[in-house]
Amino acid sequence: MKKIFKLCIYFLFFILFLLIFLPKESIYNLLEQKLSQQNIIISDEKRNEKLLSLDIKNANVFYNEVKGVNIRDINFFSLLVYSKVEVNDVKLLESLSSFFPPFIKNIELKHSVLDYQNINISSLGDFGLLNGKIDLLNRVLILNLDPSSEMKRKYIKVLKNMKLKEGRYNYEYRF
Amino acid sequence: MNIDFNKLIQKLIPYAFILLIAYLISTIIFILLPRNGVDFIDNSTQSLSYKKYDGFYSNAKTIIRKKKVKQETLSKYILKAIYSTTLNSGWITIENKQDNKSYILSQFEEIDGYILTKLYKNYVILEKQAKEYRLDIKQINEKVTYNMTSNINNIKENIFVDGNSVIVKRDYINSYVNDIDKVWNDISINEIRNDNKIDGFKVVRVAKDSIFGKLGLKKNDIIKSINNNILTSYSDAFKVYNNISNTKYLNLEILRNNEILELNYEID
Repeated sequence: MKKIFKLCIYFLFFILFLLIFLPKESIYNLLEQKLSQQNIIISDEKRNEKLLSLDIKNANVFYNEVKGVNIRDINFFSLLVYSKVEVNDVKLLESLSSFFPPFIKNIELKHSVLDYQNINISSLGDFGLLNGKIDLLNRVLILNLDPSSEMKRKYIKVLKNMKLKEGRYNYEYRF
Repeated sequence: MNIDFNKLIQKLIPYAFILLIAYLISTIIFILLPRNGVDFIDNSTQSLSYKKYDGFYSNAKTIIRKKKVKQETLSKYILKAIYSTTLNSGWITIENKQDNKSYILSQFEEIDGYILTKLYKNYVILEKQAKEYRLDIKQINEKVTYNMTSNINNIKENIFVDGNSVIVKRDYINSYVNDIDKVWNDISINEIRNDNKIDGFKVVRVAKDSIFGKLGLKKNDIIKSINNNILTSYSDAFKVYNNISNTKYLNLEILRNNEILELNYEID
């Protein structure tokens, strides 16, 4: 029993050391390369590798060579059993403001082994309050939106793409 | 308190090994993963307005300036119309002032010993006994100046025509940039595909009283390029829309009745 306990301790230390030494910036490079294959380019950002996380600041996101979004801060954090991506202050390009509210204050993606099937999403912005999940097994994205008055007033076309149920707007996308 | 260093080292050795293995694995992962990310490189010529004018930094070929041959003007003819191609060839309609008779001349044809050699947008060159004569088109000599102004919903819809240049007020353009619905109310476009690739955008519907109608776009025109950017995708079109606030001129290349036309505007 003592031996098994010892092995468990060794294993936990191994995971901890691995997470500390893991080349987070290189993994991020791989992510950028994969995204660029979908014509999404994250550019002009400042990277800051920390002990267990990676900070990305002032990133401009281009889609099909058109600048769409500026992100003030992205934080990737992982302990393998629990991972979190936090995105703060997302500003959409002014010309896109006729399609969607131009400011998103916060987007959070969380994954935990206790709920291994889902990545939970929560977001707050000019559009209102958004909650949802990505169901990894069934390959479905489910979003529930509590729209702000601005969203209801100006962006009714976006809301038309969602289903209204009990005062909340629902959106489902299968991939 | 006595510390048994031997025992302590013995206990720490497995952790040191674990650290070493973790470090080795991380190094292998580091070697396998890409060293560099992807950065956006702007290949667009949108902001390079000097390229249009063959400026110092452009890739345009060096302009070889030929020594100007002194040209004399012809006063006994009136040039009424020019149909010229990009190779300075084509035909003209010319009127003799003395007998008020009109003639159609194609390139290298002769009238009273004058041979039509070159045709340009606003004038032609005729040659007689190795001497060049320039004949300007009648309407161009008289400077045309007018403006179309109307005030709808507190937006001044201004377009000035001053000689050869057409100036569009930025406020008028901004009224479209800030309201995408207004754009789609006034114009409908469809992509034209050639071998599964987008090869311009066809104007399916255009409102006559809109900015698009006033600037000369017509139904069935195919927009091939804007500001020297060939439109091969929706993102190319969107790029123009995005950069319009930084643009000082607009150059549209359109295909109309199988002819390429250029529409040039200044934005003020």
